[in-house]
Amino acid sequence: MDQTVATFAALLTTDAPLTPADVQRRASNLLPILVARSGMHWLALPEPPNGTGEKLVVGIASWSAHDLSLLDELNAFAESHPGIRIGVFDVDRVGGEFERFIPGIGPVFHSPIVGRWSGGVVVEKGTGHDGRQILNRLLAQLSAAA
Amino acid sequence: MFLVNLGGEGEVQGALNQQGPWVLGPGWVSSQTGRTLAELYADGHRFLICPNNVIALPDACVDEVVTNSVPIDVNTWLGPGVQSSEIRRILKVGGKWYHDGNIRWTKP
Repeated sequence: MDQTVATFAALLTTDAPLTPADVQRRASNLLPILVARSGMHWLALPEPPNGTGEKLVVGIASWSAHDLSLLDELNAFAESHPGIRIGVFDVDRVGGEFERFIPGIGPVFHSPIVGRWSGGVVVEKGTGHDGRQILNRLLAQLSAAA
Repeated sequence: MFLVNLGGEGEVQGALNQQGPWVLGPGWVSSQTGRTLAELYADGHRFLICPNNVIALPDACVDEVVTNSVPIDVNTWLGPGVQSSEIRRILKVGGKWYHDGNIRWTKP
């Protein structure tokens, strides 16, 4: 792995002579490694409900600079709030089977795909703009409560 | 100047925003603003609805192509992403492709 990749957003750093498609492929390949080294958890497969506690599941697109910046924010939060499990999956690696990761998510046109569990139950979910709103609100609430 | 934003949602001033046919389905809203297609159109943004792999524009008619946070040359759950071959086709000689804010190709 390129040791200079220190943030998720840096995964899409332009490196001549790589084409944009090459850069995106590289980001997709490195994403699981970087998540595994972070305060979050990589989800290659859906997790069974854990029954207790708070959990976030976030599906992101490795080609989206917006999503990778969001992961940097989530990781900063995860490192300071280890009691909340944050699972991350790549929307292009699950064959469109988003319902397996977030039951009831419905039609998906945009990433991020966001689900929030509390006590083993999905209590909030959304995609794209709505997903970002959920995360922003949740992070603000939890940060204020800490 | 003819500027096309492939996968655009009106974030680039003066661009024709291309989107896939899925934007016409129920429930689609802008990923960044949450506005519907009708609302974006009412705001003055213009859209070209066509598949990413068959851009409904003639050869060599575009001065600049912009792509921001969109998949390039891959398939997603919605179908083919933006195709660099189509970008090369629609750009004029000397036309430029900007991706995520950086100039990435000039058509020779």
